[in-house]
Amino acid sequence: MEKYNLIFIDDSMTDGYMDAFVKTLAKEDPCAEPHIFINPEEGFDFIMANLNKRMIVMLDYRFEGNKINGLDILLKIREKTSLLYIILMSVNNILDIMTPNNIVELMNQDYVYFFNRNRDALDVIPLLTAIKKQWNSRFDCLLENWIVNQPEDKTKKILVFGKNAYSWEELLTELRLQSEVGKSFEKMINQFYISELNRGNNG
Amino acid sequence: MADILIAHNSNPYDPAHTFFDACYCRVRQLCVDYGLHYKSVTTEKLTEKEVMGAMPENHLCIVISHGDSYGIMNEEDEYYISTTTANYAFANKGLYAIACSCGQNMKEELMRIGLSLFIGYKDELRFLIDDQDFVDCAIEGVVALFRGKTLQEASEMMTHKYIDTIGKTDNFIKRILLEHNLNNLVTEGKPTITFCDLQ
Repeated sequence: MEKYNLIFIDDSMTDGYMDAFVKTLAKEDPCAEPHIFINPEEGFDFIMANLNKRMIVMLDYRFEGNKINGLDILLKIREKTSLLYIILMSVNNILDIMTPNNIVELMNQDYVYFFNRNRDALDVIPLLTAIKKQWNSRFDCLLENWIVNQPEDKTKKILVFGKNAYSWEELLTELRLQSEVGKSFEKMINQFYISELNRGNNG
Repeated sequence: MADILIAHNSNPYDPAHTFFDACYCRVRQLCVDYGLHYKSVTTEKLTEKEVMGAMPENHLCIVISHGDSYGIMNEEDEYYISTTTANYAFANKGLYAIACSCGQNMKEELMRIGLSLFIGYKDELRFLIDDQDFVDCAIEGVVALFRGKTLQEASEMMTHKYIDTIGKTDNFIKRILLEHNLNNLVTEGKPTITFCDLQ
């Protein structure tokens, strides 16, 4: 399994990489490369700057002294990318911190999990495992994987769509942003397989 | 034998420059190989006035430029053939467009005013930079027309060329891009028309 960024956005992680929760997960999952952000805005900026890398975001719900909460950040991330996996965390019961409308909003998001921080850190591992399993089976994840593993220089312009040229890295970002180009690329692949099936040629 | 106008965006800073240039070189060589007289209009003179002005003395126009559903444009993004240009010079002529998306509204408008033959694409052309196979597929219809094939035969030759090339490559993305171009290939006109029938 290749390395991936495990992003923690949690204002209680003031011990940084020595935080017990982070240390436990890093030890249990050697593929995880932890990045810790106490400031949610900095965490958001890091995510946006690294959309061409594989990531799981562990996002605390409540930030002391901050007007925004984890759901706000989650929705802000979703405005930019619909493909990123996010585990929303809280030490509180979900019913105590969220209104019914917030809960519905959370449930309507793709690729979102909830983790109760009162539980043992090791209980996150099944969630991480489930996400990584989806990386190996979901079409968009497989496509990302294929691009990540291309031998060419990822920053070199390699393909042209109409008037614009893209590198593999840029194409991957477009896919994760689910931009018009990203969606159109996925559509093109679907059409390819339909045509292949119609021609009776899966080779 | 009919004469050919080649309209070519030669802007060296365009992302599609190497593709456009390779297509242009192949088309020009084909003209030479088949003993056909051609005239080129490139970047500085790629305007509506130049292209429309040259069409009365030519029979087939081969454009290698960017386009959209409404027309084909030069490097300044000005249309030189479009739904709103003076297109009557294209009556009874042929248009072979290696350009994005002009197989939609622009093609409809040109057919309405009497274009006899159209080969082009109804969506973006997509390709790998510096990959000759995309060029070969794009110009296969030119080869067919110059060999005296009918529009229907040219269309079939292009389709076979795309499918053959898709089948021969192991490059996943290349196959997908070629398939995209094939799916968006548009040919229109009387199926039996040939290059020699163009006036």
